[in-house]
Amino acid sequence: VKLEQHDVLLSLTMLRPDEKLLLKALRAQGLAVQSALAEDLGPVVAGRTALPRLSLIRNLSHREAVGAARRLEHLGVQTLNRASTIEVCNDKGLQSLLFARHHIAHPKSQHAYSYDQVREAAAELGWPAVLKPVSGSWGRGVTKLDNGECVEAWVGGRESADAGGKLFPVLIQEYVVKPGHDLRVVVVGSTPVVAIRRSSTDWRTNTHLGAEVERVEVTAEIQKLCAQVVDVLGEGFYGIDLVEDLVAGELMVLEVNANPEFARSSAVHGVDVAGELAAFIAERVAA
Amino acid sequence: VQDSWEKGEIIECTACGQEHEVTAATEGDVRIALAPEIEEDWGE
Repeated sequence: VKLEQHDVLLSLTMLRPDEKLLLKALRAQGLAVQSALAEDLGPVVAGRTALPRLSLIRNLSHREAVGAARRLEHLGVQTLNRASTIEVCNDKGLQSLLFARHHIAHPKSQHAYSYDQVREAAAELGWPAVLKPVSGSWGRGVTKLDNGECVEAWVGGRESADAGGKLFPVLIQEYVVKPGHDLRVVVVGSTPVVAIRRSSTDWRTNTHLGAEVERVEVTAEIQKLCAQVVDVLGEGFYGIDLVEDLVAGELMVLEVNANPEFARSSAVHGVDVAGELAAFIAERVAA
Repeated sequence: VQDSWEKGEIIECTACGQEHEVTAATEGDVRIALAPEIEEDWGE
């Protein structure tokens, strides 16, 4: 028995307020939407249900997101974001390579595959340096290395949890002296629909770590950087993090998120991100 | 139990604050379980 075809399949790990807003906005566009947890993809992949026209990938789990997008693309379903894009966005190391190759302003970064390479890269980039797991979110595992002693403290802790060094590579990045805040720009398709300033007394400005948000104007410089990112990654739904380097006097791209959260910040800045994305998807489905 | 609940939705107990996941939400069959803990590869 074939079930009815849906316009949009919303692939999920769980249904958070963000996805609830998306469901409502997509339905308001007149689209038939099916939400699917990982196990719900089984019948779709097995061909027991009609294929959706588009799948919006909103899995919290990076592994699930890439897996769902890849399989749906192999079935001929267009996905947002694309699997290859999600893969890049899930890996800060890949992003640093991509930005360097395409001359997109980005902090100097080096991959380290061993504890010795961590020591060498941090000393070469200069103190303080920043260490980031290549895959991670919400500021988890991001460490500021003020000097060699900090590196040895990090190595000591890490070796006890990962004696075999299986969690390498990590990314060592130059520390950007910023004005106490960074910027998050939400891009729908190729359009930056809203920019917010995230301020914190902590050197990390993740909203998950308590940063306060405030809407700011999308300047020409912000637009230019976002356009560069979209040129490389293709149209999609992105949370692009920008940081102002006070020393170099320029704005640079810190990272791009393929599954940006927006429910809490939308309540502050007032832009209907879910509505913007739903309208973009409706256009894609109709094309 | 609310009509608007959907499968996969995370709801917070108004009495104790514990988060739960709606594991089934069809007519006449609404089930919830403790919400999963954050896993290592979760993120934006």
